[in-house]
Amino acid sequence: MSVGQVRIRVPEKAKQGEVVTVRVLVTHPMETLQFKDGKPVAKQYNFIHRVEATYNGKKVFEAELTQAVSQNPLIAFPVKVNEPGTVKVTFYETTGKTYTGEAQIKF
Amino acid sequence: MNSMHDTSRRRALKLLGAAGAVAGAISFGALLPPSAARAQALGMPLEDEKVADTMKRLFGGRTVQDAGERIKVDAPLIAENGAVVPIKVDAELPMAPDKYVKNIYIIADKNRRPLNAKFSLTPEAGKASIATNVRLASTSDVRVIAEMSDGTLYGVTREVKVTVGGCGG
Amino acid sequence: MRLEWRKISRGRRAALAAAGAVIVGACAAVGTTVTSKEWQSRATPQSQGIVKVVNGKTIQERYPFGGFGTDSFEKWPTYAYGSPEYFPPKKGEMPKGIKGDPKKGHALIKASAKGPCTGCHVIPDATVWPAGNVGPDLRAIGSRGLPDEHLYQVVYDPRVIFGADTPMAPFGASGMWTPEEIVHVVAYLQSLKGNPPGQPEKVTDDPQWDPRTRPVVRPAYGDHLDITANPGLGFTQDVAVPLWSKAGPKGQSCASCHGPIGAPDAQRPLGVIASMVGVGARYPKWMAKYSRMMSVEDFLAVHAPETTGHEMPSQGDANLAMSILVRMQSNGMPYALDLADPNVQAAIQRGEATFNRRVGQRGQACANCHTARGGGNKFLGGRFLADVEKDAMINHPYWRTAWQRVIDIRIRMQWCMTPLRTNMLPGDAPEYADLETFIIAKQTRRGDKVLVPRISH
Repeated sequence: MSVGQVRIRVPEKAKQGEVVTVRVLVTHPMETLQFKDGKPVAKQYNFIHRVEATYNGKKVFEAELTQAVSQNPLIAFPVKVNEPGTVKVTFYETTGKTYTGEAQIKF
Repeated sequence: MNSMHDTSRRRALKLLGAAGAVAGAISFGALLPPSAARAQALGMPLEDEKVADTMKRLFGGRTVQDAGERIKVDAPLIAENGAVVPIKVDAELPMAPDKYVKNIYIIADKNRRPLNAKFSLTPEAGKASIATNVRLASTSDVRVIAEMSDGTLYGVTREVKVTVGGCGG
Repeated sequence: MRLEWRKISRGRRAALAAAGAVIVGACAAVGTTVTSKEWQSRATPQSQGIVKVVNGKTIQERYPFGGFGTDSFEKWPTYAYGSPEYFPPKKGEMPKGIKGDPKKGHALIKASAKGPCTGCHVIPDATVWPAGNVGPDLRAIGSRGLPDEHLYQVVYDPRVIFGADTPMAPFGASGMWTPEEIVHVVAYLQSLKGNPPGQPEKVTDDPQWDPRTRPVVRPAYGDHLDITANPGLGFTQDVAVPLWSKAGPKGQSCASCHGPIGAPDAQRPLGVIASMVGVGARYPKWMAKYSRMMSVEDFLAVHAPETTGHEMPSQGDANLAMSILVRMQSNGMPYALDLADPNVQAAIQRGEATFNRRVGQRGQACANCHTARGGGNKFLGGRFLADVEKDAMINHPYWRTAWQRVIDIRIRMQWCMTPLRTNMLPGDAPEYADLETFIIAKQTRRGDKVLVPRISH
């Protein structure tokens, strides 16, 4: 499982106007700053701090994550679909890297 | 315990087709000017803070109304493992263009940095329903707060007990 | 031989199984298993548990994750066949001239490095979380008029008082507690008069605090076969699916002989391998060629190098993922150990003996925690202990949320060794295969169904 692998699950088929649930998982360590005696012992941290989702290019969902989201973050969110299309989910890592996944919703 | 091997709700997954897994590791530095790259990479670890300060920082002095049954939180009463605590939120609140659930916050009182995550929705979402897995440092009240587009706040609090010890299950 | 065995009535078969030693002696088809001493391990170096001296200290190399540690308990019995027996019950002598201090005793009884006692016993202290109920409630123990000497002996070596079957460790006789520490604990226990006297004190109104009223909660991690809920599926998809059709150094791939991965179905979301449907449910199997029982994981470690040339060491990523891919082909099907094979019956007997064998410094056996006469169906701290008769060891390998990795039953067994203060055997040890056989036989008789990989704490 390489870091940044994005896996999306959507219903195979949807109807016009239906609210579908998009589930997305990204392989990521969600590193936490390590503390000793109340002081950080290492400055390195690397976690997903933002998630953005679009449907057919239009932004439908956004989340700000912290280090208090579990390793290998799972996010589920709703999208009301009025036409078939593509869900695209982008994860933003604190290093500046992004990881993207896509899934098709058919009618 | 038998729910562990309940196989009644299986669905065929279109893993190989629909869920196109793209392992894109694109450096913003390569695509954007340096200032934009910095602006995107805003994710900093939060400062240690007390939950009262978190609430003040996020909501100012605004009152959080008890959501009662309108926000349903599905979280375990007892978490065997604080590192992965599944939380599902279903808010039965308006999702109309003039008034909708704009943000859902998950806040764990006892965490060193209480804010777990903030989810932002639009009226196009159709319903205010999200799920994720969070980390809890210890047994803690977990607050789920829905912020409406007009600034109204609704919240519910659930205690999740985190077990430690034993042989680790 | 097998056909003849099947002709024997079920009752007769059980009787024969009970007299297993006789069968083993009388039946030429029953082989003698190799032991971990003779078996050349095909496990990863981390899984082999090599004991060595580093900077003058003897350590056992273990996994770098999960808190296995490296303390070596090489002086104490292990599950290896031929390992010495744990020492017999030993009476302690309560030291004279030490005055017990209930305060010190209270601190000791909660100290995690010393047990903790509260993992199994309830004391009147609201700060204890989570308390267990494997042993008796101690909230009014001091009102029972038990002599100090008796309580001292219970902690020193409970087998002297309660008999060899007690699930409690001989904390004094094993050297984990000093005589002085036990004196302090006895003083604390005698101070617990109850409230009202003789009755367990109500400590909090929280029903979850009391392990007898605490509900058994299994967090809903979601659909085990949903790749967005179960990272173990993604691991298998990334590691095993491409490996299945990748030719090894010998020019062949798994698919060359066993066929390709077909379209997925509800139970096999990574694809159906027709020739493998039902196969995993029949393991562990007796492999005459290797003179031992083998789980899917054990067999892959020898079979893959022999046929494809791919190395697939036990407990390594390729082995774990391939094992899941193979085992999940049996999802929804009942476990189907070959109970008619006398070699399987012999392994069940060996496994049962292992299950009941006291090992490690703590001198505890699987049976102490995982049977109804011990801790089974009770809380050890916050953990609900599985009962071998009901729900122990269903469905491995699984995604372990606490470690965010896939583990198989052997890593789980090795993990049990750590708190028992016992040196682990290599993951592919024949002894573990027999223990697995003993438990899978119960799953087979119960009709438990395969579901791999599942998600669990």
